[in-house]
Amino acid sequence: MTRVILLIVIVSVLTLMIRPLSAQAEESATVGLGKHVGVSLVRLYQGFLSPFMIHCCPMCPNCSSYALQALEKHGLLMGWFMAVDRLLHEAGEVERSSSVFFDRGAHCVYDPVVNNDFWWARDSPEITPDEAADLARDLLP
Amino acid sequence: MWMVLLAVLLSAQTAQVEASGPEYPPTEILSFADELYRRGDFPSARMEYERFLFRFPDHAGAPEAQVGKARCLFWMGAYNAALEGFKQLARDHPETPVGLEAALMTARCYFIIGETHAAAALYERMIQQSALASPAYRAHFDLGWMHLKESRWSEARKHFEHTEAESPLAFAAERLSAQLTPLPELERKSPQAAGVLSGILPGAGQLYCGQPKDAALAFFLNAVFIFASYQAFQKDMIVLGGFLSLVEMGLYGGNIYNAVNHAHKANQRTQEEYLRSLWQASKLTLKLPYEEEKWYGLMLHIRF
Repeated sequence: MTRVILLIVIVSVLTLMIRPLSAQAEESATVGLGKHVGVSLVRLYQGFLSPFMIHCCPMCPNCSSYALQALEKHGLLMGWFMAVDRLLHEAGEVERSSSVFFDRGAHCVYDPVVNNDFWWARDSPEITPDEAADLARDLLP
Repeated sequence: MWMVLLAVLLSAQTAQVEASGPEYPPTEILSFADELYRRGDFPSARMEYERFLFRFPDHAGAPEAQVGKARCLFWMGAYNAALEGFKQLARDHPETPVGLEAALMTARCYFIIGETHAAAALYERMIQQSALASPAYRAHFDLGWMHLKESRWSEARKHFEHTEAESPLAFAAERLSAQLTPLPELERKSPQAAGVLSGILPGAGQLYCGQPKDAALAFFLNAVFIFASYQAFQKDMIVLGGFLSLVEMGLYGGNIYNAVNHAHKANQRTQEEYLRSLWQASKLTLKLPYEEEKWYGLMLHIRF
């Protein structure tokens, strides 16, 4: 019986997490709830656990801020995956990246969300080819 | 008595001087703005151009000041504001050097903000109207570079080949065209393969992309959480097992995302390195007008 209840709980949580990957999809109430759950958990970590952490993130924005930005931009599921991706590639990025700058007394590697979702979340051009042709005729009669 | 008279006379003269104030002729304001622009002090130059336009809106130099102001906005990174300025200038001064220059800068603004269709349409239109040839060679070069950035090698080569032989960019265009013969085949990582490999074995996709540290970490974390979840369920610690399974699902999905992301980033780095090597091989002469030199420096760094 306990296993059945647990299974129901897990399926419910997964249902909350599922979000259409299309950028055009409207955000439903359950998706918004899932995102807020994720954001709340990260803020909980920032408020109660992060002050006791010795390790200082070498990236900018730091991992928890990155997670917040990813959750806000892409929802719970993809935001979670991107947060895990950031934890995995953090160490290697310090060696790979050339975007290093000095901030608050330490070197930081600049690694924003946009550097890690460009291959699927890039904004498409808003002006269509037909509109572009009309614009060109308008400006160069 | 004479002291009172002297005081009154002095006051009157001072008041007269204060009332008149210094007079700067319009050409002086404009040339000062141009000097600030040439020095790269774009915020101050923009203010001077606006001052000129406010005081002398009907002066013959007003279009030049408007171009200057829009250019300042462009180099300050306010591309959308610059875009509106250039578009208005192109509409107000059609078929004139000012209008053509504004049209070219409009195309460049669209290029930077990622509106590639609009940029390409304007460049193509300029090339079609090559009777007013001044911007056409730059249109060919810009369009060639835009195609390069999107890995359309044959279209890029075609535009470099069409750059006029007399233009300052002819030498660079010829070298770029030569570098693109034969068409390059860059070594690319398959994001699909990386994702599938990491799906089958966490860390395998990262190894495929040449990231051993990330591979080891992904494998270790997934192995630990899978083992812990299994042990928790074996010992009837259902809640703990469920929680660990949930975390593991996130780690597993994140591991796949990490592998695919690495493949895309590797391809992007390969392309950027290739474009940089092309640029160096072109030996683009920097004896260009100031704005063109800055533009080609910026174009190298535009990331779509």
